[in-house]
Amino acid sequence: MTAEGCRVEVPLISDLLYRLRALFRRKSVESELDDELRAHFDRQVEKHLRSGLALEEARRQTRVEFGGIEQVKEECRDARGVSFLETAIFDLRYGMRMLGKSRALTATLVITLALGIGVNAAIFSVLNGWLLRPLPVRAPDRIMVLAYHPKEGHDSHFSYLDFLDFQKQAGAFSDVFAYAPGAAGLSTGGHASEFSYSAVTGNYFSALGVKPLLGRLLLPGEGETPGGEPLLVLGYACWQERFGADASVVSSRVLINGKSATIIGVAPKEFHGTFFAFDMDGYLSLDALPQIGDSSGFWTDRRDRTLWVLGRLKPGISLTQARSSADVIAGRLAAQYPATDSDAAVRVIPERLARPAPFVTSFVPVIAGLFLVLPALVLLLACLNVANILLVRATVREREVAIRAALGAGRRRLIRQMLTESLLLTLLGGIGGVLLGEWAISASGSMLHSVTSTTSNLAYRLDSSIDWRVLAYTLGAVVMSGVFVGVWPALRAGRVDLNRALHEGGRSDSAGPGRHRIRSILLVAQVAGSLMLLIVAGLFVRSLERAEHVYLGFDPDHLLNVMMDVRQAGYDETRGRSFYRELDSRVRALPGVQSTSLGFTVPVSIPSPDAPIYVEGHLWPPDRQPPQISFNGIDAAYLATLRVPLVEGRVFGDSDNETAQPVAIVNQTMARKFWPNEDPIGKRFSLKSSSGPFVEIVGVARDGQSSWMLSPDPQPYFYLPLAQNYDSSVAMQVRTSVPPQSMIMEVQKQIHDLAPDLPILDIHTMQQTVHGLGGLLIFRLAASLAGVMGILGLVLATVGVYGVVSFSATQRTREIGIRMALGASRRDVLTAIARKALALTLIGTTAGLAGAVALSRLLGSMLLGVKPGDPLTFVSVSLILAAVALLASFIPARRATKVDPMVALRHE
Amino acid sequence: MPNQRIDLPQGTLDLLILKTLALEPQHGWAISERIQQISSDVLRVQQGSLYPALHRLERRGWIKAKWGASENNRRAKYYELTRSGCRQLEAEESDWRRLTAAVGQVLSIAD
Repeated sequence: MTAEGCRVEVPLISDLLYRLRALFRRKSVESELDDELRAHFDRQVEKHLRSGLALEEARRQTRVEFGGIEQVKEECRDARGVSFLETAIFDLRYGMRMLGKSRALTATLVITLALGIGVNAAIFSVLNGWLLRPLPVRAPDRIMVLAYHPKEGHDSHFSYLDFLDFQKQAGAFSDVFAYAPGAAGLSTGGHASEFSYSAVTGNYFSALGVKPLLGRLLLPGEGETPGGEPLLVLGYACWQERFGADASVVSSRVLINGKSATIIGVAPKEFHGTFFAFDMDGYLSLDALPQIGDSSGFWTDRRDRTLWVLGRLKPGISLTQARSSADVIAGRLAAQYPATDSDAAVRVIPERLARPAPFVTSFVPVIAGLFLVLPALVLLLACLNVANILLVRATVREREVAIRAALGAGRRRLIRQMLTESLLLTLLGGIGGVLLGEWAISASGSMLHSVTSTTSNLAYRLDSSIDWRVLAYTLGAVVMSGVFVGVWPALRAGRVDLNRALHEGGRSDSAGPGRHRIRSILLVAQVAGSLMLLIVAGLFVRSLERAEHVYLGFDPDHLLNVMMDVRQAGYDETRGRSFYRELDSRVRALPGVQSTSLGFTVPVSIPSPDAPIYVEGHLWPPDRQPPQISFNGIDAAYLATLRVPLVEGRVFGDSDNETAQPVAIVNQTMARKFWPNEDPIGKRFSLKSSSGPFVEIVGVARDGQSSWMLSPDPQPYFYLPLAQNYDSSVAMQVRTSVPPQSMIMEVQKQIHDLAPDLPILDIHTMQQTVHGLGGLLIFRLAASLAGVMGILGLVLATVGVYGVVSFSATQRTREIGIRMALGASRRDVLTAIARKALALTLIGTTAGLAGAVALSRLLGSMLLGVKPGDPLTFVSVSLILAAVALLASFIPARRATKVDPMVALRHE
Repeated sequence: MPNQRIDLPQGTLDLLILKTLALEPQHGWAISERIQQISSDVLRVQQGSLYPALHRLERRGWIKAKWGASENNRRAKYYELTRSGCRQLEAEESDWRRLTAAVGQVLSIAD
C-alpha cells in the first residue's frame, strides 16, 4: 500500500520527531486520532442523512463503510512507526502477568537460571578482579609494561643502568618509571613485623598520577643517588593498621631491615601499588634497595636486574609505534653493551595483559578460559532445563497462542511475545544470579582469606566486587540465555496450526514428532554437558584424594615451624649465626619440646633454592645447561627432627663446619638420576662448574615431598650443611610432645627477647602448612569448585530427565490406558516409556564422554597423580550419571503404570 | 451504486492524497470525498486505509497536520503538503505517467 518508489527520500529529522512525539505524547496522539476519526464518522453520517436515510440507517451504513475502528487505529499506530516500543511494553506487561500466574513454575525457572548465571557472575568477577580491573590511576589504559627479555631465561626485569638508558631514549613514552617489589622487616618502637614494599623511582607517583592522602609523595629524581637516607610513603592499609591512622607519623623515622627511613606521606586508599594483586605496605625510595638488600651492584651493574619497568604512552602514540621504538632502543643497548645486553629485547605490553607477570601471561588465558568454560557449561545446562520446561508449557499454551493468532496476531508478533517472556525470565534469573554470585564471592573470599592467612603474611588483595564489567558480562549471559531458552517455544508458537489447535481443544496425545525431536536433542545435550562437568569434578576430586595420600616423607604431627629472616633486623652473617644458635638452644630447653632444628626451608612451605649440578668427571658441553636441582641447607638435627629416614651413610655432624670438606646428603631419586647402579656415597659434585669446588656425598635420604608444591613423583633433592652454607632466612622446626599450637606464644616470646626488631614471617604447625597454599589448599579449592559445578550439573540433568519422562508419560496417559485395557502388562508399559529416556541418556553419555576427553586435556597440568583420561573416573562417573538418569526416568514411568485404564480413557 | 467501483491499485492512494492536498489543505473526510468526486465515483477511498496512509505520509514529512476550524465551525485536523511533499508528488506523478503509458503500450501490442 505504500508508495516506496526507488527515489523516496526520508527526511530523517521529521521522521524522528514524529516518532518521538508519538511515543512520549502517546495519550494526546491517541486522543487526536479519536477526535479525527469521530469527526469523519459524524460527517459521513450527515452525508447519508442528507441523501435521505434515517438516522439509525445512516449510522449503520457508516459503520459498515468504516470497517473495524480498532483495526484502523491499530494500523495508524503501525503507520506511526512507534509500535516496536509500544509492543515491547505490552509484551512485557503480558509476560509479567503470565509469569505471575504460575508462581511455582516461575520460581523454579528463575532459581535454575539464577544458579547458572550466578556461577558465571562469581567466576567472572574473580577473573575480572584479577585480570581486567584497571589500576586506580590516571588514564590506566596508557600504562604499558616494559618487559626486558634476555635471550635465555624468564627474566623480565631491568638493571638500573639499562632503565636509565631506556628512559632517556624512549620518546614514545611521556614517563618511564620503575619499581622493585620485596619484603622487609619494619620496626617501630620495639614492635617488628613483616613489611611488603615496592622500591620506586622518584617519578613513579607523578607518572601514575597518584595524589597523596597525607604528607607528600616522592618527586621525580628523588632517592636516585646512592647512599641517601631512604624515604618511605606508607600504604593506606599499613598506615591504618600499624600506625593507627596517626597523622603525625609523617616525618617520623622507622627501621626497615634495621636501616633508618623517613616517612614522608601516605598513599591514597584506593592505590595498592602496581605489583599485581598484592597490597603494598609502603613505597621506598630507590636508594633503599642496595641498603636493605644484598644487591651492592644495583647502581652500577647491568646484570643486577631487579626493576619492573612501566611506561606511560605519550598521547597520540600507538602501541605499534611504541613497540618499534622499544625495539630500536633495545637494539642500541645490545650493540653498546654486548657483554651484558646482547640479544636483549624489550616487549611493550598493556599493563592489564601483563598480569600477573609478563613472563607467565601465556598460561593465564588457558586457566581463565577453563574457568569460564565450566560455569558456561553449567549455564548451558540450566538453559536446556528451562528451555525444556518452556517447551512443555508451550504445548499447554498452544490454545492460548492459537486464539491470539486467530485474533490477528502475526507469526512474528507471537515469536516476539514468547521471546519477551523468556528474556524477562532470564532477566529475573540474572538479578538473582548477581545476588547469588556476590554472596558466593564474599563467602568463598572470607574462607579463602582465613586459609591463606594461616600460611602467608603477605596481604593478597583480590578485588572481586561486582562492577560494570561483571554486570555487562552477566547481561550478555542473560540475553544469550533468554534467546536460547525462548527460541524453541517461540518457533513453535510461530508454527501453530490454528485449525488443529483450536479444534482439538488442546488434547495432548497429539503432540507432533517435531516437538519430541527438539526435546530429545535438548535432553541429550543436557546429559552430555552434565557428564562433562561431572568428569572434570571427578578428576579434581581424585586428584585431591591422591594429594591427601601422597607420601610426605616426614612426620607432620607435633611439629611447629617458625620462619624469620635476620636481614629484616639488619643482622649480618656473624650476628645472624649466633642469633640462630642461641635461639635454637633456648627453644630446645623449653618444657614440651623434644627437639629442634634449623633449615633454609621446610617442604611444601616456600620454594627451595636450586642450583646447577656438575657431576665430577662428567663434562657438560658449554652450550648446554646442567640440570637445576632444588636443595635445602640443614643443621645436624634436621633429618631426625622431621623424621626423614636415612637410607645409607650418615647425617651431618658438628665436624661438618666451614673449615671441613664440603659435604652433601642426596635423596634416592637424585642418587639414581646421577649415579645409576652405583653407590653414591663418596661421589662428588659441584654447584659451580665442572672443575669444582666439589662437595662429597656422605648420606642418602629417603624420597619424600621436597619442593614447595605437592608432587606425585619424587623429585631429585639434596641437603647441604647449614654450617657450610649461610642464608639470613631460616626456618626453625620444633618437635613437641605437647600440641604444637600451645608452644607458639612461648617461641614468639623467645625470639622477641633475643631480637626485638626481628619480625616473625611465619609461625604455623606443620599440619597447617601441609593443608596450606603450597600443600593441599590448591587441590581442595579446585576440587570444591569443580565439585560444586559437577553437582549442579547432576541436579540439573536429573531434573531434566525427570521432567521429560514424566511429561511424556502424562501426555501418553490415554495411550497407556488403551494399551493396558488391551492387556499390556505394567512391565510392557514401563519399558515403553523408559526405553526412550534410556536411549537418549546413552546417546548423551557417549557425546559427553567425547566432550570430556577434549575438556580434560586442558586440565592435564592441574591434576596431581591422575591422568586426564583416567579410566576409573570416566567409567565410574558415567555409571553414576546413567544410574541417576535411570532412576529419574523410572519414577515417573512407574507412576504412569499405576494408571487405572478406565480413568485414563476418560481423561480429558 | 458500487458496481462501477475500482479497487485502488497498490501505492496509488498516497499519490491521490498528495495530489488532492496539492490543490488546498483538507481534512480527512474531505480528502476522501474529493477523490470520489473528481473520479466521478469510480475511485472510492476506504476510510480504513485513509488514516493509516495520512499518518504514514506525515511521518515521512510529506504532509503536515494542524488543527483548525472547518466550514461549519467544527474542529478538524487539516493536512497540507510540505515542500518535500511537493517534490514527492512531482516524482510520483511522473512515475505514474510513465507506468500507465508503458502498460498501455504493452496492452496495445498484445492486441
